[in-house]
Amino acid sequence: MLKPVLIAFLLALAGSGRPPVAAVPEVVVRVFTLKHRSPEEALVVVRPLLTEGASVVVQATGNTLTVRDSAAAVERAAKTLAAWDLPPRRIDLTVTLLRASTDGRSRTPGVPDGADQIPGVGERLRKLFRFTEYARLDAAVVQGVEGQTVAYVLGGGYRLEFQIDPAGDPQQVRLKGLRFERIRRAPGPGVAELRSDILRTTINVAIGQPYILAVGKDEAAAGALILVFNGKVVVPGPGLGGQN
Amino acid sequence: MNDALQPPRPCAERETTSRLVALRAADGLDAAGEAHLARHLASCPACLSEAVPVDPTLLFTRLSASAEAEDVAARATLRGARLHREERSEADRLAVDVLAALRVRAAEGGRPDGFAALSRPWFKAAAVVLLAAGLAAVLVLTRPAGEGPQPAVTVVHSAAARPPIEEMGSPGARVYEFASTKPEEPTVVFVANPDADL
Repeated sequence: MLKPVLIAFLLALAGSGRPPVAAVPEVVVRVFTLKHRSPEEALVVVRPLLTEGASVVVQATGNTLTVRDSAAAVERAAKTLAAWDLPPRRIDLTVTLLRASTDGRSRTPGVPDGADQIPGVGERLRKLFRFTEYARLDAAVVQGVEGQTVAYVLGGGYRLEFQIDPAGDPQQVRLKGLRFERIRRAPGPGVAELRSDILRTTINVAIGQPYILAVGKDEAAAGALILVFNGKVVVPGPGLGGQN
Repeated sequence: MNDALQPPRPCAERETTSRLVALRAADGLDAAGEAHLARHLASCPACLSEAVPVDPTLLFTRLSASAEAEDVAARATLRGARLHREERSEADRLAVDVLAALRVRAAEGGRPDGFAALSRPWFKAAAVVLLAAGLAAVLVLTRPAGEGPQPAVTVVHSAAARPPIEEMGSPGARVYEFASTKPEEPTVVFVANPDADL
C-alpha cells in the first residue's frame, strides 16, 4: 500500500529537481571613469551590489572600473557610484575638551561652566549625568578636507588624531580611526613624549549638531573627559581629483 | 538559605520615590528633588529596579551619586564602610545587569556594523520590555558575578544615517549611546573604558 505513495513522492521529488526555465539575464559591460576616488575604493563600494558571475577590472591608468554583470546589477552600481564619487568636502570641526567631575567646589563664581558655553550641551549633560562641574580644558577648530588625517594637541596634555572621512551621507562626517591619547613628557633629558590611550574609535558626527563623546573609567566614575564635536561644511569640495 | 537569592526588600520611601521619578520623567523635578532622588537610588536597589525602567538615564545619575556616597563612606567607621560596600556591591550587580539589558553596546573588539542609536522615547519603551526579563533575572541574582546577560539590543536608527559610533578599538570598553530626539539636541556617547589613561 505504501508503494504507490512512495513512487508518487519520488516522482514529485524528481520533478522538483528539474532546472527552472528562466530567462537568462542580459549581461552588460560598462566602464566607469572616476573623478574623485580611486578605482580600488570604488571596487569595495560596488562589490556587494554585484551578482556571483560578475567580473570587475580595476584600471589605475585612466582611473576606471569596468563592470560586467546583469543589466540590473550594473545599473545599481552606476547609481551608487554616482552618489559616492563626489569631490571631498572641506570640514571645519570645532573640538572642545571638558573635564567633568562631581567636585563643583573649584568653580569660580561668575564664570560660566565649560559645558554651558556650548549651546545645548550643558543642559543635555546635566540631564544625563550627575557631574557637577564641566571645566573647559581647551577648544580648537580643526580644519581639513575629507580624506585627510589631522592631529591636534589639546589642553597641553591630550592628543587627538583622526581621518576625516565621508560617511556616505551628506549630513554626516566620519572621524575614522579616532585616537584620543594622553601625552606626558618622557623622564630624562630631551623632548621625548610618552603617549597612552584614552580611547580608539570611529564615530559619525552629524553636520551642524553637537556630538558629545564622554570617556570615564566606569559608569560610576566621579570624573570623565568629554570631547564635544561640532562640524560644518565650509565650501563644496575643491575637487582634488583622485587624491584621497 | 542563600541571601543572595532574595529580591530587594520593599522600601518605605517607595511612593515618594515613584512620584519623584514620574516628575523627573516629565521634566518637572527641581534640583533639590533631583539630589534627593539620586541619593536615595544610590542606596536603594528596590526603588532603583522600579525607577530605571521608567527612566533609564537614572542609572547614570544613581551611579554618580553612588560614587559621591563612597567618598563619604570612606571616612566612616570600618563597619559602616563595610556595610556600605556590601550595599553597593548588590546595587552594582544590579546596575551591571541593567546596563547590559539596556545596553546600547558593550564593545567587543569593534565590529564595523552599526549599533543602537536610540531616541529617548524608544529607549524608554525598549527598556521597559527588556527590563521585564532582565530585572527579573537580576533580582534573583542567579548569575555568577562578571557573566553579563546576552544583550537584547533594540536598534532604532534614523533613516539613512550611520550610527553615532561605528567601531570601538579599545578592548573591554562599554558604550552607551543617547541619540538626540530633536535636530538641535546633541548626540551623546558615553564610553566606560577601564583602561583609559584619564
